Amino acid sequence: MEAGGFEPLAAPFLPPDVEAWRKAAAKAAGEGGLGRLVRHTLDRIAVDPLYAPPLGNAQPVAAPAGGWPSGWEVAQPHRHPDPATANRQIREDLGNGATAAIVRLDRALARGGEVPDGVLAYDRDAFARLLDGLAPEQVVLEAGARALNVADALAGEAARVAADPIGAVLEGAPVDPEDELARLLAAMPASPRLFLVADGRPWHAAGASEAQELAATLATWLFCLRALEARGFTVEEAADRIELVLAVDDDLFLSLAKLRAARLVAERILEASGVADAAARVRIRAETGQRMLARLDPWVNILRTTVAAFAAVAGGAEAVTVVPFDRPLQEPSPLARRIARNVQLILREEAGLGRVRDPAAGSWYVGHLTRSLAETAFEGTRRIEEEGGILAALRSGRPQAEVATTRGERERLLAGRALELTGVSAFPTLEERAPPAPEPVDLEPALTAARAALANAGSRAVESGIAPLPRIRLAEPFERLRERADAAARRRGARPSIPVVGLGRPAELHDLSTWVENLLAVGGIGALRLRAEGDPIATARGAPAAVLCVGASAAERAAEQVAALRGAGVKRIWVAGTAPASIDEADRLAPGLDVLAFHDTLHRLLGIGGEGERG
Amino acid sequence: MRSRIPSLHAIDLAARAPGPGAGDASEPFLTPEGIALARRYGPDDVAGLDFLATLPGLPPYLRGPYPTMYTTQPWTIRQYAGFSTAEESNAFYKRNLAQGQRGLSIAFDLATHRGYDSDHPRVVADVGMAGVAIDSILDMRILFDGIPLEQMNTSMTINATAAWLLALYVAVAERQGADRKKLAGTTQNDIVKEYLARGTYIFPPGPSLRLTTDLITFTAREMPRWNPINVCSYHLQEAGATPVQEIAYALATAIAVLDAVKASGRVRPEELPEVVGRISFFVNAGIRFVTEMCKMRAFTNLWDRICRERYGVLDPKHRLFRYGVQVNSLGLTEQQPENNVYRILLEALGVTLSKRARCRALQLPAWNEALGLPRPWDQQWSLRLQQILAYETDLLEFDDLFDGSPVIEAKVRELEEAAMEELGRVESMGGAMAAVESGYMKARLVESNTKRVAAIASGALPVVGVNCFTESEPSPLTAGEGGFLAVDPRAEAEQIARLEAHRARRDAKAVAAALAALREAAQEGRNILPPSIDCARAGVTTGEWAQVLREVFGEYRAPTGVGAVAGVGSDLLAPVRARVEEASRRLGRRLKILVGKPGLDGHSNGAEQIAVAARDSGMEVVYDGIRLTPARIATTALEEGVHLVGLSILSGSHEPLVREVLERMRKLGIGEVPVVVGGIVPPEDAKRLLAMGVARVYTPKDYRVDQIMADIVELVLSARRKAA
Repeated sequence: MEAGGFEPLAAPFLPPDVEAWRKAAAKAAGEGGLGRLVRHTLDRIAVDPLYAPPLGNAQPVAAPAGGWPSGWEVAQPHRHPDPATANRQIREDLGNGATAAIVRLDRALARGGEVPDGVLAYDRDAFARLLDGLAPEQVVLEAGARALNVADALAGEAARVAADPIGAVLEGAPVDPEDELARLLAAMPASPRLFLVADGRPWHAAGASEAQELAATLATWLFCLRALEARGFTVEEAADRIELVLAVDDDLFLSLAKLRAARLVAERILEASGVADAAARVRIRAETGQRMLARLDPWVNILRTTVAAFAAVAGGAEAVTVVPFDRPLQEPSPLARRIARNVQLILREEAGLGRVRDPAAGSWYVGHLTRSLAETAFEGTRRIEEEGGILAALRSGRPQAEVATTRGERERLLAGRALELTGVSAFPTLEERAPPAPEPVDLEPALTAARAALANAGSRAVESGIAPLPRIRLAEPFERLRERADAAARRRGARPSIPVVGLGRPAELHDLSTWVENLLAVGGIGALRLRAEGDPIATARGAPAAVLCVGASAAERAAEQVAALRGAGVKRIWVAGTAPASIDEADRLAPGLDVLAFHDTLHRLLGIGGEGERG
Repeated sequence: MRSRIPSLHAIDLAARAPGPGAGDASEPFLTPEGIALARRYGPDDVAGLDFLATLPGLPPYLRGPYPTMYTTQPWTIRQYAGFSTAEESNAFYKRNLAQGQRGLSIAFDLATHRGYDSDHPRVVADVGMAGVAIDSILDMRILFDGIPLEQMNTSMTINATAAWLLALYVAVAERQGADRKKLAGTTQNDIVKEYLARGTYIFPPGPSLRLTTDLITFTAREMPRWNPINVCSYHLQEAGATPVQEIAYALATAIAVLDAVKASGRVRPEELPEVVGRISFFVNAGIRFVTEMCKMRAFTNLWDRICRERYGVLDPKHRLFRYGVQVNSLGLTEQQPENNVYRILLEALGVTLSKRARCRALQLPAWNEALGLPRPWDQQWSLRLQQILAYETDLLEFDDLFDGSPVIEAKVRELEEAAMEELGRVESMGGAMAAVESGYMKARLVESNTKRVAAIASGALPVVGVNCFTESEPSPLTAGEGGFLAVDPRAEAEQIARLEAHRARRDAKAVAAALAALREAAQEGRNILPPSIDCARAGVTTGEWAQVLREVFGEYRAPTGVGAVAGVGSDLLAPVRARVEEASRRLGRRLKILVGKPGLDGHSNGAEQIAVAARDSGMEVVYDGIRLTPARIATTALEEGVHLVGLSILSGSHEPLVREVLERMRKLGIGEVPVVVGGIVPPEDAKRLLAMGVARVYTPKDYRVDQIMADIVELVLSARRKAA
């Protein structure tokens, strides 16, 4: 269709009355006015409630040029410790729609650990079993700091090998990253399947903000680029040997914009370095972040990864990895791997996500987020450069400390439920349904072989001088609460419960009591629903704690009811709903309360151990 | 060698980014609509789109109807909750409308039928149970939101409050800009069968008939496309009516209504044929399908005669006996429910075989209705039966198959004569309304039903799978847990919250004025519809509307019919009678039971049959009719000193109602008096009732009243032993 060939659709209504909109919007916003609707990301990026040309916040934004291949790589993650089992699972995935396998090799045993955190492949025999019958282009071995040994073992032939000394050190690997990198660079000219990874996942897993993850990852990428160039690679060749890996999560627009921002910055740097076809030389793999996965109500993880996968594809990743939903609980079951594959196949074949490149281009909102993230991240990268590059910065510990601050902020948001985790901190279910367990595999032979190979090789542990990053999952504090309560329920044969007394008309109490019931369930505590009209005192007598739900029509009777409960020996009484002024602030339950602190108190009252008893 | 990579300080991020990457040679995607998708879109593609500069909440609303959309108010998260709320029903109508269906069929909950608001203490647990709850014009507006009423044909199953619901309908339609002259549909508006069978009446027969007449005369003038009344013989058969009684009482009802219309003087003589022609009927088709077919031919003949002779209708078109059918669900059995499929088929034949007396509309129950609320699949199975009958068979290719058949004609004549005789008897008592007030019709129905129940119990009336051929292979069809639809209990709380909000928002002065005008019209005998429409517009609630009329007309309790029946089926009860005598001797006084029907559900057959059988067995029986509150039942049990309480509930609200009766009895100190429950109770619910403390649960499969009576004696004696 020709530009300008459109029928005027809105002409009779133009120009839009901006003042009328502002007035109506301010009225809808209520107290605090329009300003209340402006939200901020953890990077302090302001997000307006609406982007529109008449409001002056709709800017045309340069979009990255590369990305959005017509068919992205469906890269399935693998990490089963037994090499033969891993091989069987890889074949099954590749035969059912996956186009690549991302195989994490174990590093835990090399560090002296007991529990493997990847495939136990330490000798030629193990690699042979792992890679039996697989095409080299379809398999990527994530070897961390072991990449050189692995490349040696394969003679550079049987698979692609991803080397990531910096990421490995951030995980706690006892190696000197500089030394490791130097040896890798020396080996790379002769090993065409060996490549470097600039990995954002450790940052994401540590709770970083989007710009923090981007700045560290781009600085790592730039560090590798410079190092390769210094070894005699052209910038073009260097760029082709580095892959950016970024995490995507269930914050759809931030994840989408994060990928676009990464590409925008990397393309710009290559272009400024005189690379003619910069767009073709930035490659991004996106993986659904493990930070967002929960052990509680794990089925919701399927929905989280679906949102994240959408963000990855719409954000233009060349390869997308969906982590199976049961990963926080177990080695993924066939069902979980199947769903992880099918999420991508549905996005591709049924949702048609690959039909148009950069489908979010032109959205003023996505443009605003992309530009803001790119600018903030670019500033962060510059700062790391000023500090002497990523390794120097990491040795100083400054980026790790900043991420720790952000992590603390996240934890506060989670505790007050400004950030809700469905099925965990909001709308939990006390009738958990566990996903099917995978078939057990005897790991003893693989473990024995790995230990023998490691003993032969001899280990050379070095202090890296870099503080590693913690790996968190957002649901963990809530999972600890539930574990405690569930353990008590198993011991006592019944779930610990407290009386929830309703005072008021049923219609005004319905939502309130359900809210309280859900709040209690977050900590694994049951609710004994009672009505003030019945004889709640008889049931509540001697209970360690109780909640009184007060409807607006019964506010003046609240104090009297509290006194009655107290008289019946109830130690602690919280009041939800319309509480009279006489009720102490600390005894009120209202949206925004610190759920973790509340449950610590409640658990102590119920004798199921407070924070102090843990560990 | 100097590095080509500059310092980041030398890079301006905002500089123009590189041009598009390597070209993509892939073919453009063609959508099924034939739209070619380019591989990439850019600024040129939106140049000239003037609506990009529009704002939400302002015309032309291309960016959404509200100024801030979800940033201030998240969308509504709603899940399927049966059709208990106006929203659910509305969504259902819209789906049907989208498929081209123009017919709406609305069932109301018992509170709406009985003229109570959803927060009235009497309606606890019944709100939204058997249909949609309508408290005010607000609910009606939600119910029909986005439905162009002028183009619809709406059937409302409503009786005692029919005038009010029609008023709400007119008010909502006119708000949509509809012309009331174009509104098409039906109100059931048959109060007689409410007194006799279904129980959702409010006012005494006289005022009720006046409301019926008001509606008919109003629509005759104002809404010419409306069918103001649908005379129901259906419920009479459900209550036990024989074919003769069904014909006679339905015709008596129609005559009572038409006579009242004539007497009102509001319809000119030349308009009467039109009014007569607007009357339609709703009949029942039982398993004795040849007789049922003859019944329909008799109905057709008699109605034609009455129209001609009594009302002088000359145009044969206006004398047509127009009727819809729902086949008999009383005869459906809980035992071997698969047999019901055959029963339904045969019953359908009864009303379709004869072209001259064929129904206009046929509604079939689901095979498993005796077990619980049917699922969509069960209903679909019944629909298929009709489709096969209509499209596969050759039935519709023939003219009337029975004209001139001596056997059929003889049977039809026999039915006509007997029906005319019974109709004459009712007429001689002063017509249908008088026969309601005297309890005559009710007593005849209870008597017929008692005979039927006794005949089944004795085996004289064979029911396959129930009292004969009862051996059965295990059925693969019978559903376990989850086999039936459940109603969401949250619906009630939401409905009450909405009602409270509505009351707070409306203009109290306008409400008071509208109610005062309604009261005047009711007192002065003016048509109730115009002030009711004003009430609807002012935001008056269903409860307020009915309360004003209760104050003017009074409230009514119909005769139970139980007292007038005696000694039917007594052979069967002879052995029980001896045991009752023995038990009474041991108790030191006559064994006494209370039969109660808590809640708003008015289907009283079960309660009546138990009351009659208990009395026939020699027990003293307290039965005060339908719709007692749990509190009243418990108090009566205490005051009357009964040995056992029997509760009958068919509305599905058994759990909360029974729990409340039990609690109240415990509080009054008579917790040890055994309580038995009868009704349509799915097995899982029965387990819960027993756990609650109910002594026995009886369902339609317990057809042996003599055994139930023997049970009662045993329960009373064992309760006494425990107490001693």
